Amino acid sequence: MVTQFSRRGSDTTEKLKPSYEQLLTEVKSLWEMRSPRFDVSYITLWEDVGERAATFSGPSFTSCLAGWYSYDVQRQQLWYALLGKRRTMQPTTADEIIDLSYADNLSRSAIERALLRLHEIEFEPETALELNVAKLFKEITDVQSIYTDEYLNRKRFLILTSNEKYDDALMDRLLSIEQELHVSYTEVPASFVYIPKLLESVDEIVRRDSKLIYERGSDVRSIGSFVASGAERETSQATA
Amino acid sequence: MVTVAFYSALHYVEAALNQVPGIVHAETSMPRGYPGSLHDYREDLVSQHFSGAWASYRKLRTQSVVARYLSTNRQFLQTPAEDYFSDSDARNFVNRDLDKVRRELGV
Repeated sequence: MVTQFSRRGSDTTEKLKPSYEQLLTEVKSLWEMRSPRFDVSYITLWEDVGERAATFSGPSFTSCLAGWYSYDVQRQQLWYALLGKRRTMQPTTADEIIDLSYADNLSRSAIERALLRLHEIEFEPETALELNVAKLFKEITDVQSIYTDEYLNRKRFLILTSNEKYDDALMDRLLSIEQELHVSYTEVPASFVYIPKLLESVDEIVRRDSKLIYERGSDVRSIGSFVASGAERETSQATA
Repeated sequence: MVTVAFYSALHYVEAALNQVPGIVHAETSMPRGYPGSLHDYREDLVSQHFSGAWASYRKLRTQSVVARYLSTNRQFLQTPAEDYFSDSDARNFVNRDLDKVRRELGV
C-alpha cells in the first residue's frame, strides 16, 4: 500500500505520511474556516477518526460519521452509512483508508473534497438537535456530562450537573437553553432531565442503552461515536 | 414544598387549558400515540398556549422530581430534600415561580 504524502504547493521532493496529529490539525483548520457553526461537533467527529484510526477498525470509523459520506479512494467509491452502519467498505480499517486517501494519487485534496461534501450534508433534525444540545450545554461549566436515550417514544437528554445544592441561577440558564432548543427543533419531541451531583456513580441513573454525547474533562465523544463507558452502564430510570 | 407548588401549578394549568378550544383538559385531549408522558404533553401545551409560564412551570416540575427522589430514597440516596433546597429556595418556588405561573395563565 502506498503511504506517502505529498505536501501540496511545496517544491520539496520529500514525501512523508503525516501523523494523525498533523491530519487532525489540518482538518481542524479547514473545518474552522468553513463551518464555524458546527465546528465543535465536526471537529470532534474528526478527532474520533484520528484517535481511533490507529487502533480501531472500520465500524468505529464509520460510526463517527453522521449522514452519508462517500470517499473516493483509488477509483473506488466507498460509501459509508452515517449513524454507524457500514454498507460497503474496502479496505476495512480506518488507517488503511487514511493511508489510501493520502496516497500519491489522491493527496490532500481527497480530504478537502470529503470535507466539502460533509459541509453540504444536512443532518436529520434529531441528529442536529443532539449536536446542539452538546454544543450549548457544554458552555455551562456545571454541566458534567450529557446522555441521551429514548423514553416513551421521545428523545430524552439527561444533563448531569456538578451542584450538590439547588442552584436557581443554574436552573435558569439550563432552562433557557432548553427553551431555545425546543423552539429551534419543534419537529423533534424531546425532554430534558437535570440531575445534580448527589450520587457517587452515574450507573444508578443512566440506562444501559443511553449514549454519552458529552463529558467534561475528557475528549468529547460526540455524535455517532460509540462510547463504551456510556453504552455499558447499568441502568435505572431517572424520570418520575 | 416544591412538590406542592408544582401540583398547584399543574391545576392552574388545567384550569387555563379548560378555556382553550379543543383542549379542555390535558388528560382527555392527549392524542393517542403522543410521544412522551402526560406531563410532557401538558408541558408542551403550556409552551404552545402560555409560553410566558413555561419556564416557571418547567422549573417546578423538574425540582419536584428531584425533591421526591431525595425524600423517597428512590434515586438520590444520601441527601434529603431539606438539605438540598434552602428555605429561601422553597419560598421562591411558591412566592415567585408558582405566582408567575398563575399570573401568566391569567387564572
